[in-house]
Amino acid sequence: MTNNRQPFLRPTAADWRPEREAAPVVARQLTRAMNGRPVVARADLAVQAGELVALTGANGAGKTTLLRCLAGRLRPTSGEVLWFGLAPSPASHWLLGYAAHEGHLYPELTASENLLFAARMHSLPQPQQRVDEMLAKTGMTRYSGQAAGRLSQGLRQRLSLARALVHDPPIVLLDEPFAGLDTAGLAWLENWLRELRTRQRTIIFSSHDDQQCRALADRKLELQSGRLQTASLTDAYPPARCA
Amino acid sequence: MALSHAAKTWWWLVHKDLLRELRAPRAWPAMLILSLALAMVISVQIDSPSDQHLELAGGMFWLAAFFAGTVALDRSFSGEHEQACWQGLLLYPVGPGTLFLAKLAANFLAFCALDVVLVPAFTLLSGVSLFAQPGPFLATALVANLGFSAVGTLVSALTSGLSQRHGLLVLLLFPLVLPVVLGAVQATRAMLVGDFSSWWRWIQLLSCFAAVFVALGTLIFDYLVED
Repeated sequence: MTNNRQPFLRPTAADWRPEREAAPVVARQLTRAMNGRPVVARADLAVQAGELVALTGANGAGKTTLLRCLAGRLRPTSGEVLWFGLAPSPASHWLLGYAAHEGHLYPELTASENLLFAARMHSLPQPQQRVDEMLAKTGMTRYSGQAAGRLSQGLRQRLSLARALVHDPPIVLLDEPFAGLDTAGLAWLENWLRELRTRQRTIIFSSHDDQQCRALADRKLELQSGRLQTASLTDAYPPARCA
Repeated sequence: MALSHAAKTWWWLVHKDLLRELRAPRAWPAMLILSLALAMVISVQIDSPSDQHLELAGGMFWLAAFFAGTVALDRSFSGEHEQACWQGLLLYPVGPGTLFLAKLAANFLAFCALDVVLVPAFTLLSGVSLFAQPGPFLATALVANLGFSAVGTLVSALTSGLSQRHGLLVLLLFPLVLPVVLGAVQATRAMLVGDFSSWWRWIQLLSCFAAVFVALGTLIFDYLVED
C-alpha cells in the first residue's frame, strides 16, 4: 500500500491509492470449523478493487461465518485472509466497513450519536461534518435525534450501513444488507453500492435475493455445505464487469 | 500520534459507556441500592461493643462495596453484547488494550460513585467516620477500586460471552480479588486505629496488585475477547 501505515492511524481519503498488485480481499484455503464441523471449507477467493461480489447460499450455508472470517473477526481454523496482502489486525481495521445482521448500534444513543461514536473511533478529522453527510446520504437527517432502539427495522438497517461506512473504507463487507429495507430503501442501497463500486471500493454482500444479485453483482459466489463455488449470473442479466 | 489516537479513543469509549448509563441506567442504581441494603444488614447484624467498631468497620464497608460492585462488573460487558455492539467495537481500529483500559475506567468510576454514596451511609449506620482521615481513606479507596476494577474487568470480559456468566463471574472473581479485599480491609482498619506504618504496607500491596492486573489486562485482553 502506498499510504503511511502508522499503527492505529487511518490515512486521509486523499492519501488512499489502492495498490493493483495486491487484491483488497484474498482468502486462501480458508477453513473455519465450529464444534469440529467445517462451516467453511477450503475457500479460495480474490476480490479486486471496484468489484461487487454477491455471496449466496441457503440458511446455515456459512455466509455469515465466511464474511466474519473475511472481516478478521473469526480466526480461520486453517488458511488465511489477507487485506491488500496483509493479515487483518486492529491497526488495519480502518480498511474495512462491516455491517452485520445485528446492526452494532447502541439502542440508548441517538442515530447521530451512534454515527459520531463510529467516526470518533476511526479518528475522522471532522466527525460531526461526516456524520451530517452520512445522515443526509441515508435519508436519516430527520431521525438524527431519535434513539437507535426506537427506530424501525428499515431505519436501523440504514443507520447500521451508515455506521459501517462512515469512514469510507476501501473494503466493504455487508451481511444481508437488503433485509428489512422497503422498496425505496432497496433502490437507495443499490444506488449506493453502485456508487461505491464506481469509486473502486471492494464490496462483498450476502443475499438470498437472486434478482438483486443479478442486477448488482459482477460475480456471484455460492456457498454449499461450506464449499465456495462460482455461480453463474444468467445471460439475461450479464455481469457489469468481470474480474 | 498513535498514543494521542489511543488516548482520544479511550476517552470516547469511556464517554460512550457513561452516556449509555445516563440514558438508560442499568447498573448504577442496582449497585447503589444493593450496597446500601448490604451496609444496613451488616451494621444491624454485627453486634459488638462500640470500642471494637473501629476494628470491624473496614471489613463491613468493603464487603458491602465489593459485593455491590459485582453488579457493575456484570453489566459492563453484557450491555455490549446486545445488538452485537461488542463485535462492532472490535472492528474499529482500536487496540484491545485501549478497550480494556476504557472498560476498566468505566468500572472504576462506578466504584468511586459507589463509595461516594456508601461512605456517608455507612458512617451513619455504624457510627464510625471513615472519612475522619480523608487523605489516607481516599488513597485506600483509589487503589482498592483500581485493583478491583482491573481484576473485575478481566474476569467480566472472560465470562461475558458465556451463557452461565453470572455464576461464573462471581465464582472466578472472588478468589482472584481476595488480596484486594484483604488489603483494603486491613488498610482501612490500620488507618482507623492510627497505625500508619501498617496502613502504608497494605497500600503498597494494593498498588502492586492493581499495577500487575492493569498491565496484565492490557497485554492479554486480545486473547480474552477472541471469538
